[in-house]
Amino acid sequence: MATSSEPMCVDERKTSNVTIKEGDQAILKKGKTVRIFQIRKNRDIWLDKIKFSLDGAVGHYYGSTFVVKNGHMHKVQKTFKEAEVLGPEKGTDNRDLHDLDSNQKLSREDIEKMKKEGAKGQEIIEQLIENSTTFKGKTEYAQEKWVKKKKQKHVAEFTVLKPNTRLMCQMYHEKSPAKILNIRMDTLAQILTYGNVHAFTNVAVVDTCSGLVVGAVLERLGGYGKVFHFHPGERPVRPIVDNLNFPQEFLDNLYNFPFCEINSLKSEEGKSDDVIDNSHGDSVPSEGDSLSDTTVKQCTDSNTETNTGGESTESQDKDNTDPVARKRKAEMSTREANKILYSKRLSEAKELLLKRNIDCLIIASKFNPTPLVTTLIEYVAPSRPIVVYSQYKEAVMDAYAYLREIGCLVNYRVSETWLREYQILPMRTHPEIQMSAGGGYLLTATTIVKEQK
Amino acid sequence: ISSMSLAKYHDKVKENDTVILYLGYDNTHAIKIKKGSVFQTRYGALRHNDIIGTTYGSRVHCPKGYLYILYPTPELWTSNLPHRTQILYTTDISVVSFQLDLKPGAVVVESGTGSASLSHSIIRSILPDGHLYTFEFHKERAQKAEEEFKDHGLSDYVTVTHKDVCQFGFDLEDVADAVFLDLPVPWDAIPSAKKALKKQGGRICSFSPCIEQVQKSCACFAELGFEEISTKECLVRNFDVRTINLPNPEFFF
Repeated sequence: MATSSEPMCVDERKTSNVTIKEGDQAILKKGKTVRIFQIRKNRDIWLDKIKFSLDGAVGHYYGSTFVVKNGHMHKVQKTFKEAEVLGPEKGTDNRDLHDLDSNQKLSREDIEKMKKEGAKGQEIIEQLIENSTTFKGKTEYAQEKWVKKKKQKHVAEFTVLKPNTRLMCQMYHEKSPAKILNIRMDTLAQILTYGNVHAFTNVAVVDTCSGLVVGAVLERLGGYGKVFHFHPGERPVRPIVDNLNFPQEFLDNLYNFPFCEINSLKSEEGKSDDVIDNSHGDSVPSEGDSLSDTTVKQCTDSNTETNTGGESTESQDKDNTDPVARKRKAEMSTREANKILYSKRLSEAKELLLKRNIDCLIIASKFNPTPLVTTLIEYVAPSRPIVVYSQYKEAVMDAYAYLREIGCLVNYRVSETWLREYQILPMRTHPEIQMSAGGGYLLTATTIVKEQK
Repeated sequence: ISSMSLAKYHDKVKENDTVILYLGYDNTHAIKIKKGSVFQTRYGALRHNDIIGTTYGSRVHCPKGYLYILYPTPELWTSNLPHRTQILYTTDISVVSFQLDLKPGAVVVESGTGSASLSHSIIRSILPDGHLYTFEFHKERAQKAEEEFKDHGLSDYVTVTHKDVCQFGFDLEDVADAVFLDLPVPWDAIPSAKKALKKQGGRICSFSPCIEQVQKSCACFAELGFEEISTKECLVRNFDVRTINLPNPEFFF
């Protein structure tokens, strides 16, 4: 396939999606194992107990399959199918088969030697088959299953994919579900659909699940519409949004809203004016003061936080040609600039929220959802969806009962989805043995025009 | 002239809008607003003229009760649309949309259109710069779907074709990010679906009620070199939340 010539559409977003580049966040998928790495040249990574560098991926298309040889990635055309290595001999059942280590004549060292000498995956499997005393006695299905298992173990083949919400959800749900509050993909799917999340909508999200929901919403918005991320603490914790590598235009539409600012939003004046005044001061004395100024509510953000804490007063007396002092002064003015930017964004967010035309409110956090709904519902326009997620049925039920009582919503629904995966093979079709128990619970409802009492 | 759009929310009810009437749990209706029309409800007559100009989400009074006027999201439309065929419900629609990685700009190919339940949802997820090519072999259903898309202000985002794709293929090449099949014999359409997908790769989903169809479809996918073939079933359980009093038994006479 030739490299693409000048694309017909000018949308850079679409064309840059295709090739693996250095600096990209890329997903490496090997069977059920899904991991994310940043492509950096000359740096080794570990995947499934194998160490190698990612250099070999650069320049190829996403979706390509690679094999690892001697610590380097090589693109492969297609993996061999299990059926291709089976011979004509097979047994009928396992009545005479005994499960012993001595069944396999090749030792681990033999196999490692073969790998070092650059033997292809298919060759290794064929050698294992030849040196197995029981293989020919297995049924055809057992042989296929055995080969599949050996492939998993000895053939280091995997696919490089572009990160998206689906893969990130799968990865986290498998590896660290607690970090995403146990949200399973079908639950996340319901949240996005019932929330009617789409281009041109403004979505308010309370997210303490590593940014999974914020990321999913940003993906569905495609850069059109705004997202307000309500979060506890000073700064939002959303590594998944970083992994999804959105273009800057998308992120420009993402506003952070710390919980501690909600009160000021409620009082409709906002303390944001105070913050701006404080940071207008010169880098000289006020810098050290404002950091501990409690009236600013501790909600400052700075990318260049340094340990100048108690030392700030010294630097003012030093000679200005001193490089250390100059650096400190530069850092302090960057910090100032960041503070100004931060408070500007916060004011913008408050202004937008006060328009009370949020199109969707999604709550997916570890906190009790009821106060979150009652507090934020007034910023949502009428006839818009509200979606509350909790890992715990009780939290959702309580929210439902309380909200019904105060009568601010209609079209209620409390639900849970079950997801069942199947193995589909001829004469071997059945549901997978294990099913995930926890995918969480949802409360969905629609806002109405507030009745004047 | 309709300026209704399921694509973008607007505040007030206008003539030609499709609105959802919410009367209570499991009691909703979709109506098209027309000056002078009347809709009979269990609470009495509802005059369209009375609704025109009200804000979506408002409570409207009828002789014997009241109801709410809700904006027609694809989910509310799915629960209230006129069935021409068996439809996909929101639970499955959600999972399909998620697994096909739908987002603005995606180009999607679908067959059969059926009652356009999923179609409405797809369009919502891929606008404004995506497109849905939907194929239906039943002439009247194809026409009805086209009318509905027009009524709902979605015509710009969708192309309806009256065609049997199992016999004649999609006649599309290297255009789609995702393909969705809801056909009795999907394996007849899968080769053409593969051609329709972009060369850089894409996602395909086949929806079948019977396990035999799933088996044949999976075998076909494997044969044609598709990867990451997975089969899932998603079931929804709705809860009826009530506070009840369990009386204590009395152990004496």
